[in-house]
Amino acid sequence: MLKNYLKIAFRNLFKNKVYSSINIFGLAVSMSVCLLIILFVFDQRSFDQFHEQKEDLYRVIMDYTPSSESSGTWYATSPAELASILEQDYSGIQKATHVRASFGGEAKYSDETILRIDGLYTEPDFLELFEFNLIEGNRETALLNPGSLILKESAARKFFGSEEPLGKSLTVLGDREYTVTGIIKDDARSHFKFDALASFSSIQTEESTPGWTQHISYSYTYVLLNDRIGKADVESQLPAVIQNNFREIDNSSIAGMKLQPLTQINLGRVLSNEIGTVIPGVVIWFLVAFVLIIILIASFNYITLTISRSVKRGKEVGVRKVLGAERASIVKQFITESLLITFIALLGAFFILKLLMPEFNSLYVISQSSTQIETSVETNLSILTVFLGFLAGIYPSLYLSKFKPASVLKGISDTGKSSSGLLRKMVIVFQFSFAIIFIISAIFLYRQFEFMANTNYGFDDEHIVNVALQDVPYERFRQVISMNPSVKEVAASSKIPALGSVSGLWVSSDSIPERIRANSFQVDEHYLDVMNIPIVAGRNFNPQFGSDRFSSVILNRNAVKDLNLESPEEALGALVKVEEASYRVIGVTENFISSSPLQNDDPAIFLNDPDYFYYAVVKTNPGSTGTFLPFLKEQWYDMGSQYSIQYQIFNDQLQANPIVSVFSDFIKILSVITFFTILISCLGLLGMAMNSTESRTKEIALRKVLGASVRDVTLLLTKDYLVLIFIAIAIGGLSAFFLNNLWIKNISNSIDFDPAVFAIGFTGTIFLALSTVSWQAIRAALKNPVESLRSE
Amino acid sequence: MIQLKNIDKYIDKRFQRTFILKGIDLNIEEGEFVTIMGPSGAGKSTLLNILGFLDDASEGEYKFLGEPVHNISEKKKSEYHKSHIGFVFQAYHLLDELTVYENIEMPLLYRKVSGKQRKAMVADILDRFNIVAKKDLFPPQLSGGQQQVVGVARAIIGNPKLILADEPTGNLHSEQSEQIMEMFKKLNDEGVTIIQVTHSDKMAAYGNRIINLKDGALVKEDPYEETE
Repeated sequence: MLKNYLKIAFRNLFKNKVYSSINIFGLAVSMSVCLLIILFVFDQRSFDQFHEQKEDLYRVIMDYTPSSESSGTWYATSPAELASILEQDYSGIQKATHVRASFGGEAKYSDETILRIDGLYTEPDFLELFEFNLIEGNRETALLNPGSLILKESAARKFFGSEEPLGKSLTVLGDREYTVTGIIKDDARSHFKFDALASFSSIQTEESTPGWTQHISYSYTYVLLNDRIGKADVESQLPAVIQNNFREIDNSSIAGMKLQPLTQINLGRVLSNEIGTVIPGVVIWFLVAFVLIIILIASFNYITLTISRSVKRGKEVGVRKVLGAERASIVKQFITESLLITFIALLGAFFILKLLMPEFNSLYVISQSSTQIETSVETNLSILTVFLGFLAGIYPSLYLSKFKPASVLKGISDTGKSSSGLLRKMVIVFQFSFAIIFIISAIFLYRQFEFMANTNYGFDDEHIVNVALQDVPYERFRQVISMNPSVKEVAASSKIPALGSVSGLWVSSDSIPERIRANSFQVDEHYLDVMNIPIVAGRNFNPQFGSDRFSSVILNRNAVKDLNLESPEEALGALVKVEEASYRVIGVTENFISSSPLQNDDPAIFLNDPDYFYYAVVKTNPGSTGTFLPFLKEQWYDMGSQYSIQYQIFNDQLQANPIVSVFSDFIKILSVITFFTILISCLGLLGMAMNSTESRTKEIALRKVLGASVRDVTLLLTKDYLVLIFIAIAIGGLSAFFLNNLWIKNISNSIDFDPAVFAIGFTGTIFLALSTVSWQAIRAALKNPVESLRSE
Repeated sequence: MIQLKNIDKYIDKRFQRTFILKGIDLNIEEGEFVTIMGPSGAGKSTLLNILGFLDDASEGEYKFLGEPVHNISEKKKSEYHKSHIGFVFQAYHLLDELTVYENIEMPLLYRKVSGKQRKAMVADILDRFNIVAKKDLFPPQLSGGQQQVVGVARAIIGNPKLILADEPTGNLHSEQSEQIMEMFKKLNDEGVTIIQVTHSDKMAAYGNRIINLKDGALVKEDPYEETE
């Protein structure tokens, strides 16, 4: 029987090549997107699954609520001392370990190889909790002694090549000498991202800061629960732990703690101070929503095309029933058929997937999280195929199997036509509404992207090289570098603006009740000049006045406004409090983009403390960056630095801005989805138009015989679709308006809400839909009526 | 074999009830070859459909092989279609996507006959109807008469007790028609009950009983009289 079903399915596929290709292509496209997301989700979910005790492993997360705030923020970090307290005093906890992510820097091997390594400081029981595959070294002792270092296989190879790594010494510049005591295999999929694990004792002996045990933003605490005692039991003891040990921290700012299951760290909630890059669970929901939309659109095509061809297949149903087929076996047959089609589509999907995969892997977000997906999933494919096959096949098969043989065999073709007609109309409206939402949103996002890429930052970014000073004193750097004739000016700063990360300070004035958070820049007197940020009132810092370093502040216009200091002129001389210290306003600058290209209304302040000069900002003469860079590299080691030079050309830095990259990721994803949605919708429309002209051939012929012109007939056939497209425009347009309004209103440095975008979206959609439909309509209208009338 | 008692079939439209069949009483014994005749719209096909469970009567009693069968379940109907009744249509209603062989084989698939037995049965029928050479062709490649031969072959492969034929020769020219009727005659001789609908006296002559239908009711006289 199955053979018979497949036979007839195949023969139908070949007989109706256009319908079949529309169906298969649409399903293949949606499946490829679906597969891509499934691959991604499964890859992400596989994180930390290899630990044998993963069910009992948790990370302690902390709700940090300063007394001045009403609601707090959840942190992935917890007090440094927490692990040892938990281990000693609480019976539900079998083991607790303490991890710090701060290990890292440039490591030197035998005076030649200098490479950057990053990693974690961990305690010996780290390897007891987490089953990283230690291929060399002793699991118990590898992290015991100060100066012990476990390297990942790949990192070891970079340093030592084919030499035996165990026992070799590495010097981490600015830290200490380490001895390699173990090698870990590279293959682990974990939220811990590291090249190396250093023994915790390496810092403890060096740490002399008083009260380090109370630090709350460096340490991560992981616990292994007793498998008899549940998570809830342990969590209920945590308030007491806070009460007994951490009351002193910032006036009991720790409002609570929770246990976060190890396997839910990746794709989990968004936490501050997260250990490395973790993809938040929300991202997945976004992707899943996109996938569902695209799958629905493709399955609807299948459903409506199958039903619209029910006149033909209805006869078959009638015959089969007369020959003794029950309804169930008819349903089975059509489901088999749709499974077959989905399976063929799956093969197509693989092909499309191969094309999409490199693009997906090159997305900024994906490349940052060091997870590259591969085409190695077999298991869930069958599930997907079956699911889609059922989704697409169930309705048509139920619909078709209902046919009564007496009526279909007589050739009464309009069985239930009105209901399926309505369904078809709803599907067109649904598909095109989404197409319109996607088109308009994609255009808006692209415009915003262009706008940000060419935004006026409010400062000069040309001919500027930012150099990380590291261990070189700024004065010395300035002295050496200024000698070069290519260099126009050198300035110092604590932070590079507009790259997405900020250092904020609390600022308050007498004129406002609540303090504000301002982006702060510690700069010298040359900075505003080099960056070309104009001073609108007052003066720049001046080293002649010794007082500037500790008591003077320069605000930008936004800060003046937010601090309610009336005008720039009136702000001069005002006293403001930065954190706890008082500063006098000596100048006001024009606004500039300080945090990210999305925001242009941030308040910013300039202070003048040389302790925080981390970067030298070098302005070169136009066209001489090329001659300056070799000079810079050459001079770097003469300045006595033990680190290698780190510099960036400001222009390039702004181009590669993470925020802009994330934005362009989103645009890429949305463009693909938009393209596919439009493509599938138009294909569906084409199928329906073909079918409706086919079933109306006789009517068209009669109309022509009675005197209708080609134009009349074309209009007649396209009119119905046009109405539907207009409804879709109304629905899609409104939704697009609300959705895009949402984000445009929320970023300050945004494009205008331009109605022209809607006009482009609408005309584009109408054009595509009309050309799809009218092609069929004109073809039908041009047909010789005698032929169509004779054929019946 | 078939007992109809006061069968009505009507369609309700707004405030008007239109009768297609009214008060049909009919007995057909096993082994009969019955011809239903009557002008277009007399209700011949409807009657045939009711007899073959393709349509339900609105009122009345229908006993098939002594069992009351009005308002039986879908499942029971397909049981009867599988094992007791074969249909032959004016428009043949072969499945265009299946070959002659596969078309004939289909009823056996629904009866879950084993592969080996199926092969034997289809081969036998092909042989009997002299269409072995055509077994791998698709229906559109055959002439109307040949298609109807396949249709008959398909109808009888399950050894039905009853064959219902709705104008089986309506689309055929006389020579082909005679061939089909000869087949029916032969089947009838072998004991199969046959009920056919036709307009042609010549075709009716092959049967041994004629039922005249006019405006939904059985009549004694020649139903064509008035229209001619």
